Amino acid sequence: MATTTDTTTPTDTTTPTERTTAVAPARVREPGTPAVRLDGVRVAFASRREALVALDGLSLEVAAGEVVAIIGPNGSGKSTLLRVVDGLLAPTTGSVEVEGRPVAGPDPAVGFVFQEPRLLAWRTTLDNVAYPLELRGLGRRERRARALELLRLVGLARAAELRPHELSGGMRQRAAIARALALEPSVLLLDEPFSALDALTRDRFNVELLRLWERTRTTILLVTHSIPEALFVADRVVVLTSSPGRVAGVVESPLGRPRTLADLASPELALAAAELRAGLLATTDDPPADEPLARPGASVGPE
Amino acid sequence: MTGPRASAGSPLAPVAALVGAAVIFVVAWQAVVVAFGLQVFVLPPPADVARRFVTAWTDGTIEPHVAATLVEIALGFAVGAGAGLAVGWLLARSRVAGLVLSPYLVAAQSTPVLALAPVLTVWFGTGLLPKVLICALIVFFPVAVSTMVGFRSVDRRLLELAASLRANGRQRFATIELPAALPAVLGGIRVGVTLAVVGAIVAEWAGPDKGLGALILIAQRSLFDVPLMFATLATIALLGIVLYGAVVLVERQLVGERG
Repeated sequence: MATTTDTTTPTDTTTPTERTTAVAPARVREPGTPAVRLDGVRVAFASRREALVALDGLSLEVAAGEVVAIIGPNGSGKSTLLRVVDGLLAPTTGSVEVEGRPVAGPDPAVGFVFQEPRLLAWRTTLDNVAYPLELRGLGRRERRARALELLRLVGLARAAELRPHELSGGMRQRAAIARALALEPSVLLLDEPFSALDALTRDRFNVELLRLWERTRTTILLVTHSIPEALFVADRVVVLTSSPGRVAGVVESPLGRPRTLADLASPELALAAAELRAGLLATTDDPPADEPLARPGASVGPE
Repeated sequence: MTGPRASAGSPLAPVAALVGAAVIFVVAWQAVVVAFGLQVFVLPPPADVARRFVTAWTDGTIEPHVAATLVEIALGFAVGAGAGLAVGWLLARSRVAGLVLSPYLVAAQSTPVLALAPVLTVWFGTGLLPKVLICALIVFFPVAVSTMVGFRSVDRRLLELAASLRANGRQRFATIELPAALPAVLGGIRVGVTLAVVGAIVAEWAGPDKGLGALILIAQRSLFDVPLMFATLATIALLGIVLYGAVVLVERQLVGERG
């Protein structure tokens, strides 16, 4: 985001379109250094019963300013992948780089939006968003001013003094996104951030995420279970296989930019989603339930 | 952590309920005295106790004893709660510490600390020290256990958030672990402060010279002043309520509403 600009902030009074033209050229895309680069990453968890391999031989490059969605069945190590990029988890073998720097421990250039908002219940929304700045040692006045700007960016300025338990689920996740943007990350990781929201809110949030991206041009890695969401938000969709996670394939989104809510219902998206869905079936561990059930009414749980 | 506020109705409703309960208590007390024709040395009527309560406070009978007991409670509570916080935190932090210390903790808790009062008097005499020790011992356990539970139950996901934001150890403690553990810790302190009162009173029985516990014995055995004994009991009860209320106030200030 503003790592390459200097004084500009995402909440400048300029309109989004002006911002886009103002910021995009400033964001030099050096062709040589991808924003994120994973090379032969293997992550194995030692367990008492057996070694669980979450990711194996995973290689992936994400260009600066690119939006990449990661999709795959349960157990394909999607969340593990994000944790490796954020430096929360060291790969067993293989290398991880962010902006050409090898990742060793949580990287300040990377922002993480978790599946749950993870707000601190004892802080107001504003102080939650200001939290990363506080850890960074910014003065109270400065970090609160900055946090308020971020809250405006995600449309939450009026909730600044409310506690998390007074917010709706959607508002909480907005606050979490604002918090992740506080340190102006050049790479934003989102781990199924909208999975707890209802379908309509989720669509709206996806559109807002795109608006946010248009303003900031932050590189985004989005883990999701939703095929239409992946194709709608991302430039490329990376499909992972199940245990261990490997790249099964990469699909380009058929949509151009900028995208609007209408694109979510477009035939191009529907077609691409159908193809992707067919491809995903092959990656899952669970066999399709095409055999008749032994007993009618028997439970069909995955166990 | 605090429950929903008193639902619909006048804001004075809780006050009315409190006063009502107090009236019922006093009336029942009087009724028992009258119904069974009880003598003053068995159970004095509430009016006698109230009168003695006032005179004991105005003629300087009770004041030095309250002061002595308060000092014991304050010191004992400070030592016991301080040690409880430190050990509880250590137990939550270190698996080895938990393994090594747990048996002693459980043994200490299973031993009635109050029964140690005579032994401590033999060891340390009848001065302030054994009383403070009894207080401290009795406060220690609930504070240690609740602190351990509080720090152990800190949401791991919040710790991961702190790690992702590159918080150092001190920051993680101050911004995540401590505030997350605080409600549980204060719950233990709430229990501890009332136990501190019990500890102080019982410790005074072992070496009776000063304090409210001593005054109970003096009133009963030397002065044959049963109303004074009950007035002392009332003072002890009030002391407990005030200390408990103080902790609740601190709790409200520190924890507030978290939903």
